[in-house]
Amino acid sequence: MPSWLRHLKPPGTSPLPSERAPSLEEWAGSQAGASELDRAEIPSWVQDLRPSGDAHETSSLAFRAEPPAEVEAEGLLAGLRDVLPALSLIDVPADFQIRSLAAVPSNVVRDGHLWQELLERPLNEEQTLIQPRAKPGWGWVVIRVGVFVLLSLVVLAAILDFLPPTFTQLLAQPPPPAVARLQATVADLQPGDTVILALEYGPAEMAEMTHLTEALLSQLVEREVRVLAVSTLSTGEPLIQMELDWARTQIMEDEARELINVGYLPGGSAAVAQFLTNLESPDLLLVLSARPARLRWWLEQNALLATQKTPVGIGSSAALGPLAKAYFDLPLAQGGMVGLAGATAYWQVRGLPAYESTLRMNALMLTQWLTAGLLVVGAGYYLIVDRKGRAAE
Amino acid sequence: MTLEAIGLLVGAIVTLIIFTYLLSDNPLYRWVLALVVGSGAGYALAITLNFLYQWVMKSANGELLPAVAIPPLVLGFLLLFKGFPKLASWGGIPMGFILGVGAAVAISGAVWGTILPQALATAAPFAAAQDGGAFLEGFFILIGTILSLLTFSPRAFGTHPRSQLAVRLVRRLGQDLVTIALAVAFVGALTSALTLFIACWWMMLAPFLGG
Repeated sequence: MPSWLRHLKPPGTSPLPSERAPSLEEWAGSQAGASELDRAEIPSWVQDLRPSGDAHETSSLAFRAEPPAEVEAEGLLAGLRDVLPALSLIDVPADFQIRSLAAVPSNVVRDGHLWQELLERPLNEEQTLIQPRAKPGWGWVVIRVGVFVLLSLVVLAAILDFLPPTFTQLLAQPPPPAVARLQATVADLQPGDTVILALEYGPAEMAEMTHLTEALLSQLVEREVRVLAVSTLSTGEPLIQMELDWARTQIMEDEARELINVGYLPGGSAAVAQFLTNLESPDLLLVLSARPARLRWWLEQNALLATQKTPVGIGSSAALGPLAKAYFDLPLAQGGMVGLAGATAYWQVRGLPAYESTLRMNALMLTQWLTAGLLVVGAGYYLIVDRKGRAAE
Repeated sequence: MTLEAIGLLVGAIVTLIIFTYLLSDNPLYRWVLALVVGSGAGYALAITLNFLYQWVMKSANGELLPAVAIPPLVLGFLLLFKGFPKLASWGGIPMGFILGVGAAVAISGAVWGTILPQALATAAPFAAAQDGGAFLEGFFILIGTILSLLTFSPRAFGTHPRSQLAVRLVRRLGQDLVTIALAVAFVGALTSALTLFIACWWMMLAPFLGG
């Protein structure tokens, strides 16, 4: 028992036991008695690993002997023995670096830097301005302007009616059966029937879609039906108003038609479902859409409502044509029309003159042929250039 | 000058500015793009606010039952918390409601309005067994549908070399069909773009065309 610990003994406690810890020599002597035990056989391969030479001939006791005690020289622990040396455990070489066995991809590092930069950027810092795109070379400008001029010349020739009649007859196409079905469905409507007209296009698509709307509206007005025009686009309400105003110009002063602008229908597909549920069995649903999701909302929700399966007519932009045509033959569908060609065909089926639509249609057919020709020429040119480039390599 | 004539003039000038992109990217072109996007966003915001205002006024006037009027207003108000990081979790309630209802309506609609009817339409030509042309058309539609769907299958069917060859052949055919479908979609998009191009020229020449 060290003397400094004896002093800490509280007064009034029992006397300390007389036993004391064995000294190092006594402990080593007791371990020597263990040599009487049978020695374990050391395998030959372990024997081969033993260091050779006298300097290494040490007894097992020597291995167990404690290293020379170190005495702390300074600090609060000064004078104490066997203080663990700290540096030997935590010290690392000055040039130590963590090396990963798997290399981190450069794109991951780049993304990491970008995220770090974005997240750590102060909110009040001035935002980086978008840099202008690289200027195209003169070759590209010539090609672009050349294509523009060619297309413009063809359009001007068509809409100014400079094309010979024999040429325009070649461009004429028979109306598709789906358009004839739609026209027949609208023609079967009776005065007072209710028709929902869903106009699902914005100002950007209006130049194309308005031809479809006008083709249908003119016949709806003629059939004296009640039209409820609606849109799930926030920009739809003024477009509906423009179309209904156009339709009113087709009505004589002494005639009365019920053309109602229901307006904007917020809420997506749920709003469409609610709108269709609240109506009392409309006679026809006409969906004119340039947006794929909105076309599906109307068609799917109408099919979902088991109580009233309203017949549907479909009109879509040319871009949406492949999607829309997949719905033309479904049980509730009563045909449809696609793009300017569909609108022109609708007038054609009705047997009404559509001079403006015909001029536009001629222009469209010519520009399509020209574009196809340019694509073929361009593909051929790059095919040759690419082959020459490979041959040069 | 009438309002319509002013609109026509402004439209023609803006169209010509857009066409300057053919030469190169320039500030005027960018300004017009920003004008289109900004005016569209601003108009949509105005319509939404107007709709909200009408809803609130109807609620205040008693035209709507409190049970109908209050929940949307409360949920809409909670949605505003999404803009504040510390309170954003409150905005999760209306978001969950919107997404849940939207998904339920959309999924049921897709099943009953698209998947089932189109599957039936794919099989319909086989019902008219007497009509050889329709049967053949239906056969090609069915094969095309199956091959296109197999293109998106991530599994390899078997490990035998012959099986692998068959899988590669099937997928190649499916990929070709999907490529044809994409080409048709590209033609449609190109047709729409050309229609708008013609409409631009029509608008600029309208005074001379008498339209």
